[in-house]
Amino acid sequence: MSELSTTNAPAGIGHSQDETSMGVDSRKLGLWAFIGSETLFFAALIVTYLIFKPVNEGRPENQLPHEFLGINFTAVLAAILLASSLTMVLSIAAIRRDDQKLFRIWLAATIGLGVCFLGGQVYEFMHLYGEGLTLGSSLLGTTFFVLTGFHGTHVAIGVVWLSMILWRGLRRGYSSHDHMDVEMGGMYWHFVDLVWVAVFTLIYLLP
Amino acid sequence: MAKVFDNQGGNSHAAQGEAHDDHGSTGLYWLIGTILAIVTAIEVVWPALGLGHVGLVGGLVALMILKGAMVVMWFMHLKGDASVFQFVFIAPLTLAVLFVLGFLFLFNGTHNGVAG
Repeated sequence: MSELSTTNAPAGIGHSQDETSMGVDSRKLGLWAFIGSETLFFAALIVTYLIFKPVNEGRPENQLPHEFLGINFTAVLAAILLASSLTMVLSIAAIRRDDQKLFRIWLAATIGLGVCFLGGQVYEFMHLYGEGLTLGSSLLGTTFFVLTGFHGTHVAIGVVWLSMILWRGLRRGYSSHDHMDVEMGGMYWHFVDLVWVAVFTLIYLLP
Repeated sequence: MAKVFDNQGGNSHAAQGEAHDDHGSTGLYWLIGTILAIVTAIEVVWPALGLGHVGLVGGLVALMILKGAMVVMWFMHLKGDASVFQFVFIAPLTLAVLFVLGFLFLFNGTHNGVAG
């Protein structure tokens, strides 16, 4: 039998129903696996952008990134998302201390910053469409909007998820012993921030 | 004899809770957030430093990896988490980083790349 086999390990002896036979929380393990798959999904989109970037530049009807994509405005969006990661981790730290008030304040701040990011992205998309960069205008438009659009969709899902956590937090409340929902929502939110760290550098900053 | 995958940390809720206590104080989170903001500011001004193509790309990639590592290790609490969690995430993350850096090396230049 493999040294790393877990299939025949005694399941759940002395463990709660949420733990796997490895003794870790199955929900958290599932979310880490999901985030791992999402990492490769976004890597594929980024690689697609990188592959088609020189092809786009070589075409006579090309649209070049530095002519359309502004760094300053996107840097503000990056700062907003990084700030939301900070407020998210502060929210988790608060609920671990059973500080309900700070937990709700920081979580609401995270949601607000997420909405600000989405608003900024919608503004950027509308501006780019007005400038002539659309989903079908060039290879730049296609690869850029697919990548950033998927990221924005993930941010929107995160905002909804965190709003549901806040709603439950306001009604029934979490505690230092029962806050796995908050931990999982936070992990997803930090992942969304992590993707933007890569997108900001690879799409907006690199020449 | 079968060996349970993770025996080093987070085998139970209690262990995970203890690990969480070690993840850092609120002050540490503010420090990490401040460093991330400073690194982001450096990223924005980096292209204006005139370091040449290799210095520009290499520096930006290094700063990106630094920011990503800080988010993963401290904000996502992967540092100190159960080793099975680390494996499940770091394995695809490593592949993703290698793919991106590999294709960045292949296609970031003056040529049209394989696809061109």
